[in-house]
Amino acid sequence: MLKLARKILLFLGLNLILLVVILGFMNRQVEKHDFNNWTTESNLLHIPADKNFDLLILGTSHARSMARARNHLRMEQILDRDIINLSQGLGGGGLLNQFAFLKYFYKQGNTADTIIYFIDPFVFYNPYFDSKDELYVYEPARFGFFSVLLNLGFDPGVIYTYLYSKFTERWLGHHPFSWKSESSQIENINAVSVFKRYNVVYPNDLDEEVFRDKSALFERITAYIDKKLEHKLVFIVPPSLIEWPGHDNMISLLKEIKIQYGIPYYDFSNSMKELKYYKDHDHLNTKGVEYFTRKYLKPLFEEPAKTPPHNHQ
Amino acid sequence: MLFNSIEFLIFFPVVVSIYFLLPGKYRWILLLLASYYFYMAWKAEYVVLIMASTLVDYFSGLRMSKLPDKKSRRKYLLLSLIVNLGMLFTFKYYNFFSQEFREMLNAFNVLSDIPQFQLLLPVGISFYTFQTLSYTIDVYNDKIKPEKHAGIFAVYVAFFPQLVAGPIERAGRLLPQFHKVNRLDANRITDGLRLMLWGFFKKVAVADNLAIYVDQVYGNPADQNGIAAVIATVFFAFQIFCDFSGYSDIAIGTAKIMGYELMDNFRAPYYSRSIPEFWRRWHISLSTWFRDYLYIPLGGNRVLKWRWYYNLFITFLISGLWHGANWTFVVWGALHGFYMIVNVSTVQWREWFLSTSHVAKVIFSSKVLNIAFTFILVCFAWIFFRANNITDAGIVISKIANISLNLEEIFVISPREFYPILIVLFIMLLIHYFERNKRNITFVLSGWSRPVRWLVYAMMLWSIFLFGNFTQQEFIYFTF
Repeated sequence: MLKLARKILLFLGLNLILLVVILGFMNRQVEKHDFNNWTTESNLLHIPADKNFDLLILGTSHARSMARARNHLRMEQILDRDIINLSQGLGGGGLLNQFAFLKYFYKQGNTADTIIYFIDPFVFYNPYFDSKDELYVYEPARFGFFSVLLNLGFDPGVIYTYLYSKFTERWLGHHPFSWKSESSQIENINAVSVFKRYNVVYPNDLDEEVFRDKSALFERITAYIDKKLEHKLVFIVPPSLIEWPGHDNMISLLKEIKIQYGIPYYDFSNSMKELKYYKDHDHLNTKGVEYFTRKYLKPLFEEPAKTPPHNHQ
Repeated sequence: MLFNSIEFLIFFPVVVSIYFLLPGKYRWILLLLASYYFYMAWKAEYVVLIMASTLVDYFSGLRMSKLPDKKSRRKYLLLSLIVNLGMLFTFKYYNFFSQEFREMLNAFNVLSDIPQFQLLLPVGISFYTFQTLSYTIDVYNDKIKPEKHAGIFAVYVAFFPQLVAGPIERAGRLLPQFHKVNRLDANRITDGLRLMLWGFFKKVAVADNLAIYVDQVYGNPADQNGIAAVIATVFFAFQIFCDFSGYSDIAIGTAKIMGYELMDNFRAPYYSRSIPEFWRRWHISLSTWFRDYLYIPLGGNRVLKWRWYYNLFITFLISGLWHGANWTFVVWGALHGFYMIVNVSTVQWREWFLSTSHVAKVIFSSKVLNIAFTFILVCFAWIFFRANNITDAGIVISKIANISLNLEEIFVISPREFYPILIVLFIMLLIHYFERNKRNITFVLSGWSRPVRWLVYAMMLWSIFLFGNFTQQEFIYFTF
């Protein structure tokens, strides 16, 4: 029996070594390019090690669009801050997903003075954001991140696809690119498109059970950041041309968090309603990002008396 | 619980570890609990059906053994038949027959109000009812002694490796094995693991990938072209083989690791040179069940010729219906019955032709041609087996009849999905080629040197990793 166990271990070990060697090779093929926060949707490709940032941004595509198309550089210039944006677009900005990136960020020995979490109501109602198999197909294979995913209990499908995707043509074709559409502007509010958007981000409608589960996870993330006392954490509800269902429930939760942890939140969902600031119904274009950063984010870093003008708490 | 699930990858090593740690006399308790848990992971309440079947057959068997002649035993056999076939009929066939009956009455303008039930088909019901029935029939015929240990009998009915999709075991083979105390055996474990790996490869890497193409074509045959219909049908032939023989290999492998020998279910069926040979190689546990408990009791071939043909036809017709309550399965069974009748009724003619004609010698003695012809016949029948209804089957056949050789029309799915299918199919066929005259993969592998064996294992493992479809597709035969 011992001989058989040794043979099995040897066979699996050899295959594991082969897997690691191939993964290393595949990683190198992509990592040889120079990636920045605004030239990739991946986060691991630009998270450094042992570095302090003035500002760390988390959230969904509403926050990610603040990095795309060199918007990241514009924000850094306006705020005069060194920023890292770990938010995720393309339907991947779930709470657990953001928790994974945050944990990895710390694991790499990085720190941030301030964390701004752009929080949207639909992340509390969508059970699929964190279980999409394709969640990490743009991330390089890293053992540290792999262990974070295992630790946080991600679906096996997500973890398998994360590794498997490194063997695909799509991975080898991953190179720095810049979004060009961030300067476009929405013409009008189209009810059909809004309805379609709701269907995409609220596939289970306003499922209270999902909300309860996600709220518990949100509290877990808050408690995790709160333990790292050196940070200032702020929750921001991003501006949007449309109303998000479940908004009031989320605000109630943010109020509870504020009482429990003393973490402030700012609701900017109704603060910018001009079409010229949006590329679609809910994503800011470059002009919008600049305006929002100047008018609403900048005061956060100034004297307490100059807190943002609308709906702040 | 599916074999191709994370739950099973945890469940099985835990069960095996506890199994070998337990003293021999208590192992049946573990096997019974594990088997019920395995089944209940799908739908807990339906375990009651297995328990009912177990109780009825256990007591029927005991009672029959105390009675001297068949006449007095008959009532207990009838009880077992009524309970088991009654459950099968209620859950699997009632709605089908009641609907057909209602439509027939409607055709004669007779209004009827036959109720329909919203019943979910219990997984594996056709398998375990046939397994328990074989027990009572064998006891009735004095072929075996009844099992006195209720717990061991319950394990025989619910043994988890083969509970939901066979092989359909015979009591005479399996029950005595539960009385033996198996020790850890490295050779047996190696063979079991080999079978499991081969089974997983066939299911996850081959069958589930072939399903992508097949589902696309058979999901909407009217929109497809002839060449895609041909490829989908050939792919389905390999899909169902890899799916079902993959399940059987995993089942035989898991049982083997614990020390139990299950019967072979497949022996390279697509290398058959005739339809009768195909049925000696395909789903062996079911075809021998029908042979022993239906075809032979009907008289087999020891009757008048017309009656012999009738026996063949009715056996295959019922075998078709066993697969599902749908006319497509009935036609599939009827087609095979027809093939068999043509085969046995033309033997003399073919022998005469072979001895007198030079051309016939070339044609009929050519192995490859016979294999190809048999494969085409089997594939034609698979069209009915796979199609959603008879109309769809007709559409597929008409598409094939009007085939045009435009190779671009092959790509009903993206080339990115299509090419991996060809790669895994090639690997499977290559390994399968060596398996064609052997009982199973373990006999092939044990004849090869270690580096070649390890290369084959690695090829299977990497194919599962790179091309595997991990969406936990159910095994096709779960629905039967």
